[in-house]
Amino acid sequence: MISVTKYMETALSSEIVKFRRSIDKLFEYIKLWLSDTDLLISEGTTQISEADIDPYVVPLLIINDKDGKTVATIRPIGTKVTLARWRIDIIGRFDKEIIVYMDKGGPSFESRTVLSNGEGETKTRYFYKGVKKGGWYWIAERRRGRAYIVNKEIFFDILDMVSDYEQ
Amino acid sequence: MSNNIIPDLDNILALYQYNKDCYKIIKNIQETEGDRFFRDTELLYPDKDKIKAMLENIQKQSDDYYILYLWLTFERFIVDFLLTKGEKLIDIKPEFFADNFYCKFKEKVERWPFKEILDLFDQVIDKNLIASVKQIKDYRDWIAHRNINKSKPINTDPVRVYDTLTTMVKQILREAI
Repeated sequence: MISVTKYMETALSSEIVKFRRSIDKLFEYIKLWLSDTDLLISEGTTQISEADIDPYVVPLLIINDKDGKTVATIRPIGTKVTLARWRIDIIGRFDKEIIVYMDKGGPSFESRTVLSNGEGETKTRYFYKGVKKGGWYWIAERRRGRAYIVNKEIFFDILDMVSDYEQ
Repeated sequence: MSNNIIPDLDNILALYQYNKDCYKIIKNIQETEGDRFFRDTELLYPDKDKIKAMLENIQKQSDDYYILYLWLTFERFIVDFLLTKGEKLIDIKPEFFADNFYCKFKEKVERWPFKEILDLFDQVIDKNLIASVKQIKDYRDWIAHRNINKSKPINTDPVRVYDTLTTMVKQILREAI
């Protein structure tokens, strides 16, 4: 019989495996997006320590300009995150932006509404608009409530915000 | 009970964003101008990387203070909400008992374990939303107790704390008033 503790460890490990896979996939895209720029990528690893999980290692990306100056470090943060599944920080010379992995729809909650006939209706409400599929999203701090999937355009917008890097 | 809870939380988030911009500007000046503007400040070090590391550390700590500020504002709203609901206790009979009962309630409600207070809402507010608020409470305790041997209970930031707490407040205002 599998003990509850053992089962939990297995479930957590499988979450870390999925987190790593998703990081790898995102990093492949980032390398592709940067391939037609003069930016250089170096790869490393970082150790993550989270409550109730053994420390684990994940990949890390460092983006340098042609003079060797760091434009941004793309650092995975963890699997225990508010309002999301996983988190990665993009840390630039002047600022940091957070991107999070959300499943389709994103975080939600049930809310009751009383209809005009006096009956109650339960509706699912979502924290963020725009989470049409599972993926890495950026939430614009100045445009509340909207999530943007991280594509090439958004990625370069983030690099511009954190490091004033323009393509 | 504060009628201004949402504007109050909005103001704290706006302050956080101004603060974030200030750090961005300082880091930019430090990168482009060197230490020219840092003379006569605590940030004047010969080592540029040391200044950068110090700025990042200060920014991390100030992010935590904004989370605490958001939490304390939310917590006051919830306690005031309970006090308002409890005012009906004054009207029960007999009067002398009601006075004592209400005074004791007022005194004790300020000290109720906050997670137990949150559980009072579990028939009117989504349990997942309450669970998210409890995670922020754990983070608030982690900041307040600063136990360096204990890992962070969760990774969060002022924006997501604001999003969670304002959603909870709006749900209470819709469902429980």
